[in-house]
Amino acid sequence: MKRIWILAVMLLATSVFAFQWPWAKKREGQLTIQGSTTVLPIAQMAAEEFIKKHPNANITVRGGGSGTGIAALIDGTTDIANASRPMKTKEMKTARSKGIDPYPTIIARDGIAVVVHSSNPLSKMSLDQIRAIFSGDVSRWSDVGGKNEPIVVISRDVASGTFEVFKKLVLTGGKVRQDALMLASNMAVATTVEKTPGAIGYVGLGYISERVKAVSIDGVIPTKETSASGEYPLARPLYIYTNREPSGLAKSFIDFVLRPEGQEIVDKQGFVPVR
Amino acid sequence: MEKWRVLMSLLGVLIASSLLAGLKGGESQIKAYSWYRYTYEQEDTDTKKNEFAVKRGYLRWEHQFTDKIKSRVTLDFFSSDKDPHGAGLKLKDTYVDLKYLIPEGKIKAGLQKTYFGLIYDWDYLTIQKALEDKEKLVSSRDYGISIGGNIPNGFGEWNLEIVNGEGYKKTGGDLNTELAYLGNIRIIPIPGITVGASVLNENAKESPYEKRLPTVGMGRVAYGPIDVWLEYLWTDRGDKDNPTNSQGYMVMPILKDVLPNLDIIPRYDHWDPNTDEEDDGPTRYILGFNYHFVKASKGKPGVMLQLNFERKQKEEEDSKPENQLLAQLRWEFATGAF
Repeated sequence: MKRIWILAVMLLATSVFAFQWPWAKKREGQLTIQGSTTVLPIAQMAAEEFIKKHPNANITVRGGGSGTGIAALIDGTTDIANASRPMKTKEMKTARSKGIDPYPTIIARDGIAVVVHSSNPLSKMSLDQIRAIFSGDVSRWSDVGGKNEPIVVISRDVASGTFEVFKKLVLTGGKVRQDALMLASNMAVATTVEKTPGAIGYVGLGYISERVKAVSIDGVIPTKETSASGEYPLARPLYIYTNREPSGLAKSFIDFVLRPEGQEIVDKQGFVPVR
Repeated sequence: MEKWRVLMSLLGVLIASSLLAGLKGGESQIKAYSWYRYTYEQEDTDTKKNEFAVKRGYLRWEHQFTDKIKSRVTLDFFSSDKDPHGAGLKLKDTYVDLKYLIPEGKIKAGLQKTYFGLIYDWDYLTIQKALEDKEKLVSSRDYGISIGGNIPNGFGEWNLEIVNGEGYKKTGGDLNTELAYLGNIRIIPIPGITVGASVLNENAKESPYEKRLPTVGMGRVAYGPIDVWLEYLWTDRGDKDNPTNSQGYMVMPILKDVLPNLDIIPRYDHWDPNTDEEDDGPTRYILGFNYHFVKASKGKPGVMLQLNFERKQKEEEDSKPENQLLAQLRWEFATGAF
């Protein structure tokens, strides 16, 4: 009997105490967004526009990669996780065991564009050639019809959803070659490819510019149209994850992104609107 | 049994060889983590311990050959009086994971976790071990082969394991010739509620080995900053003519970020080694504080200070309580993450 009392008091004290500490009191008007660097430009611009309409809202937007954003959602340190890939079963299990119920909202579609240095004469490649380059089977451009110079492979790091999707769709689960340069953001990949003759990398559609050359894959150019139609082989949806169905400020923000003005931001940033 | 064991080993080598043939480099990660502990222990008013020690110094090398094959080797260096140089060495998690044949799952061969109760995801939020480990109901790791996986959509996990049954410290010629079989399931019916059960079937033909059936039911309730872990353990042991039963339970609510970066973990557990005898079991009351200097996340370093007060009270009326004050600094870092 004594033990039961001790247990009961312990649990009661825990419950009462738990909801009194500052952690439990979320500050009104605050929203934290973290995750995919592909989704980052959409989230940043959407946040700026949203704040103009809701001056009391305080929104923090961070990158870090899809894996980092999802981990933060599971740990309760972010309200919204941006992801350029769906959550894995293991992540779902960890989330659910911690009382988090991940709820996905697709806010845009994207294509992963394979980009090369602007001086590279190649503008068309096959998926097999790209696979051979990124897996390490081919190490000179002349092996795929280009100049006789070494290929510099630029990849995203392991926290990246773009990396996960690229690995799945291009490398069919295989590894990226060991000497590949693993970078932390789309912007870093685009900038490095821009400055490195012989480089090849991959970025979201929103990061294509005239400073790098996006190659067609199996005859399909990476554009919003070919990604929306599914013709482009490296197309994918972009997600926003919340704990349960969005509510409060998170809901207002997601609704804003899905409304015509939010979808215009998606379009302006080079991605494919979903509405 | 012997033939079966040889056959399984040959099959394992054959599968592994064919899978590994022709593989390219892959990625490696080196991780190190260490526990530096101060212990002050009193029995009644007598000081029993007053010492500093490195309780754990893991050096782990993981190598990912492909998305489907990953291996791990872990060495544990620790302070020890048994070694003339003051430190000991143990082999821990040393296995290969093969993600073949089982959807959302894998085959694991080598020295690996025992998928029993709370022991396999016990992250020492209190410095004290999990109850089943502390009371030597099962060992935290064992040599064997396991299959396991996640239930789709994050609804839980399952594991089946064949192990030596005597833990990672026994590897020599004195091993029980009978293998042990383990089954484990965890279900998460709704987010925040986890229920699970594990059973380990140990057989023995001769002394000193026992035929035992350790069993555990576990539960976890997580909501916001509260995460309560519960488990109830029992086992029968001994021969048919002289059976004995043991049982115990543990409740551990984790209160996260009570103050910035500070978790509070009270814990209560009780163990009754022989249910037919009275007044033979210890009860532990633990109050733990974990302060995160740097929160660990995937591949990033983490530094945490743990402060635990533990009181162990035996049931005998005239027994004196044992009190422990433990302070432990844990740190870990890795070269990167997969």
